[in-house]
Amino acid sequence: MRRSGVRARGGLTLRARRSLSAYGFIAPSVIILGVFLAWPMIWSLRTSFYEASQFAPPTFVGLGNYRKLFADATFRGDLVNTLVYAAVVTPLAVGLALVFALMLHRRLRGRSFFRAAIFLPAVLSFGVMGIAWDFVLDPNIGVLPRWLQHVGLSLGNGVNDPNWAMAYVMFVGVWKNAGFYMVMYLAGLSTIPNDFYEAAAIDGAGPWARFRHITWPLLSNTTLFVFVIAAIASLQAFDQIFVMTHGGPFFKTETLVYLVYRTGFKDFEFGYASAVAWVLVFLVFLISLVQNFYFGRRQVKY
Amino acid sequence: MVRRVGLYAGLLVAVAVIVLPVVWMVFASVKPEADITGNPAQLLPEHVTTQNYREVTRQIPFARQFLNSIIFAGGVTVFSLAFNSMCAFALARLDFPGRRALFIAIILFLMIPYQVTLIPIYQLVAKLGLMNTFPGMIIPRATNAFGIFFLRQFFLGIPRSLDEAARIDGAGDWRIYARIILPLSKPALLTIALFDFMFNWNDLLWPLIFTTSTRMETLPAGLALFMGQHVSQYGVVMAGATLTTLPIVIAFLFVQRKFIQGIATTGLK
Amino acid sequence: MDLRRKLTAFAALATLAAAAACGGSGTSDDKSGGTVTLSFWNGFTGGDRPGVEHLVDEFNKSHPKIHVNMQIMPWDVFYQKLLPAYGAGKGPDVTAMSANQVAQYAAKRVFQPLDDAFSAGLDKSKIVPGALQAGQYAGKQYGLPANFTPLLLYYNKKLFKQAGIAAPPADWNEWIADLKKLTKGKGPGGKPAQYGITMGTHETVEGIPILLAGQGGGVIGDDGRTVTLDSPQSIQAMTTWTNLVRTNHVMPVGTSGADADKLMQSGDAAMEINGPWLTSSLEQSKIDYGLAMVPAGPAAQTTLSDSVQFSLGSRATGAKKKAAEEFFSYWNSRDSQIYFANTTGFPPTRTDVGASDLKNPNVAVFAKYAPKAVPFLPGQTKFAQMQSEVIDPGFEKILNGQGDPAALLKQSAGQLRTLLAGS
Repeated sequence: MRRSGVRARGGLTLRARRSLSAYGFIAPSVIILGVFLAWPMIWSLRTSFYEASQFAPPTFVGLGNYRKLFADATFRGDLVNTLVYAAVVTPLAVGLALVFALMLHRRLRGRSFFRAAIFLPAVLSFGVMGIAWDFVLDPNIGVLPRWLQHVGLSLGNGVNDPNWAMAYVMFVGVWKNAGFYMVMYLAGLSTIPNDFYEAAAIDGAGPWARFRHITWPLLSNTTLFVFVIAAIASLQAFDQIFVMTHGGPFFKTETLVYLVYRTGFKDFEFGYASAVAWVLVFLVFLISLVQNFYFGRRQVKY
Repeated sequence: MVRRVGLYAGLLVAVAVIVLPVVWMVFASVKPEADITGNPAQLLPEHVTTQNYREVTRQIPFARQFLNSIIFAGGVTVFSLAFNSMCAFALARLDFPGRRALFIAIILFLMIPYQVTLIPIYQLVAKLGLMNTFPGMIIPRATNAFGIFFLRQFFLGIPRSLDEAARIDGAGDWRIYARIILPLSKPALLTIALFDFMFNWNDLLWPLIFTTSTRMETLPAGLALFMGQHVSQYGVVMAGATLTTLPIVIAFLFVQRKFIQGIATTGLK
Repeated sequence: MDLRRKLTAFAALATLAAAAACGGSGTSDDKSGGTVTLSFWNGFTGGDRPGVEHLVDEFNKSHPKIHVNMQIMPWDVFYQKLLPAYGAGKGPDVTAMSANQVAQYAAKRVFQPLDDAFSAGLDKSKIVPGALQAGQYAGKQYGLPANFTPLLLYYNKKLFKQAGIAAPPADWNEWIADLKKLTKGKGPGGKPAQYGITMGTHETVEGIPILLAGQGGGVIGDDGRTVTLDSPQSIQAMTTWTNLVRTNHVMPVGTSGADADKLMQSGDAAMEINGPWLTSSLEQSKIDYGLAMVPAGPAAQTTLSDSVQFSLGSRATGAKKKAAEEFFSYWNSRDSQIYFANTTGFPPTRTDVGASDLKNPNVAVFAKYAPKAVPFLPGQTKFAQMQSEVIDPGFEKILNGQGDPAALLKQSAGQLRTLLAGS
């Protein structure tokens, strides 16, 4: 790339002209994100230093909400729940997605059907699927427990079982998102030039070697993206908890985002809710920095 | 051969588990209510009825809500596809002061749960006088960090030699964006379009928060009317959900055909 | 192909469509030609909707100067929308919400007192006392009933007959004996195939406090300040019922209200304590059921009520306030209530509707026991926190055998005292 300093037509440096052109490209997004995301984020950060119910002028409490939060046993429990959930669901969902994508990338009879079936959960709204899972998994009258009863298996007391509830919530989390990530992997796989594999085949590379030396490195952009997205999504787990367990039994499945919802919208403690959200933001940011650093060094450039 | 059988067996088991609740949904949509609740351990329908489907169209203005959903989800998809790809192109290919900061900001935007931004966004939409209008529902979502991030990663994977060759031929940024990057990114663009559409198509809360007129309601809001606080008309809900899902499944079947087995490099030149 | 040109064309089309679509639905919030428009939000989805829509339509037809503009949405969306809307001064004039939530909003001055409605035509003496009590906060009427019902005992007649039980239990001794007889079989995971009773312990109206009250205990006393959750009577009641659940498995543990209903609808539970909404579900599932008052406990025969209450936003003054008062009076008029009772299955909010006016005998049973029902924790400004953070999780911990009932009740009571001190 040419360096700046070269005078071009119109008196602007080439560099300035190129920047101007770039600003044209980012302008619509930057304006909308600035107004409808950046400002609300700043608003919530500010709110986290106030006691704010939305119905009365907020009172400044400094770090009061944050202090209260770390002294709150429910918050600590929810933090642990959130981390455990993310640590299990993220790799599981991404791993499954990659396996499905690799299976369904090749020519295969019924490929479209399998792809569509695996993607289906992502398409359906949780409001409806919550009802369906509830019927299917109901520990007393559900289809699945009744079937499993015949083979002598038990799924405990379903989502009402304090020892099992989190496993159910995790399962549904993986179920919902694996197909979504699979599609991203499929999109990524479709950019790998065929002749790489042809060359490898000539060299006599086996399937594992081909995956190890071609597919995996060339998918690193996709993997970075999918991992970051999956980690963020699982640290923000909310939807299936909202429809299936409401955080119960006794907070066993309550996550930080559920706590944000509960304290903000049910208890009218918006300052506190914002503080919880910002602890979460900090946490997610930390994790994605580590991820970015780890994957960033291994990024492939053509 | 053994590997093939293993592959199919694995896929079939996985798919059976994955589609179980979906199958339940479709079967429930053709069952009489008494069979759904009276005999919940039975998956297959004993009596098949179209009653639930007729109820959906009888009780809610289905056509109107369908149209509203298309305008809302379609509007968001079209705008965000254009804006996100532009921004992603700049992030992936152009050099400008503030690029790193913008990228970090976009990652940061992904992290804030919507529960805390809902209130300030509501205030903004109200202040801008956009309450109860489609622009009020669409504009705040006309671009999103997720789409920008996804497309940026995808664009980074497209060989740089292609646009550099075009640049030498005198092509400007817009030409490279429209003639080289976008055509080569069709799978990614279709994927993200599908996601944006699907997400907004299913969203219940957002359209309901920004509208106060029943004429503006979208399909999920209509379906939610069948789910009572204590009592739900399960069959009707499932019939409505099946109808709502169908367009997206069809769209997916179309989109997934674009994930062809690798691109031929000859096509790149 | 030129994707960019296609996109531009697409975008232009979408903008046009959007512009056209919103041109047609401009807001007309305020009066036109002397008509007062009342915006009215509620969560009357499902089976509640047709009756509510009909009454609002009738009101609009018979009151040409008032237009009630109703928007129905799911309750959880309703609460999530109310907060930013009232916060931005754009909330609805009239709401209907669970009576338990009214005090919380009233304390934030989102709502205004409605006592004037009584001088404007609503006859206080004709309304069921519990229905009024449920809407009171700090000595004032912040809510007026949209509906009010006692919770009663549903029982499956077929299962009772199979077990050789002739009549629903009248007191706890009979009840406990019946429960043991009606719990049987082997279902998934070694659990019973048929339960004596089912009761939601979260996301529903409370059943367990009824049991505590039967023994003379409770959660918070009538004064609204004294915690009785760890009184000896409460502990005794909780211990008795926890034993029945843990040892005799008479009730599934930790179910939500919807799951409890499903068990009753599928004929796998013999009894349930619930409100009138269950009648239509059971009829749909072809369950032959009966209704009875909750059996008498050693100390009292009592039950809790469930109520949805109208409230008026504090910004609605003058003509809007008058119009709202008219709407509330209309809703609670004798004719409206007879219609409402006959379409929704809820008992009338009035005391002057006789059994002869009610087509459905079940509604008459609910109406009969309405005066005996007491609201759960009326006027508590921290009700949401009390219920979702202390009471429900506390009961579920006990029923899951996570510790000694007495110790866990004491712990919950302590948390309640802290919340009370802060409200």
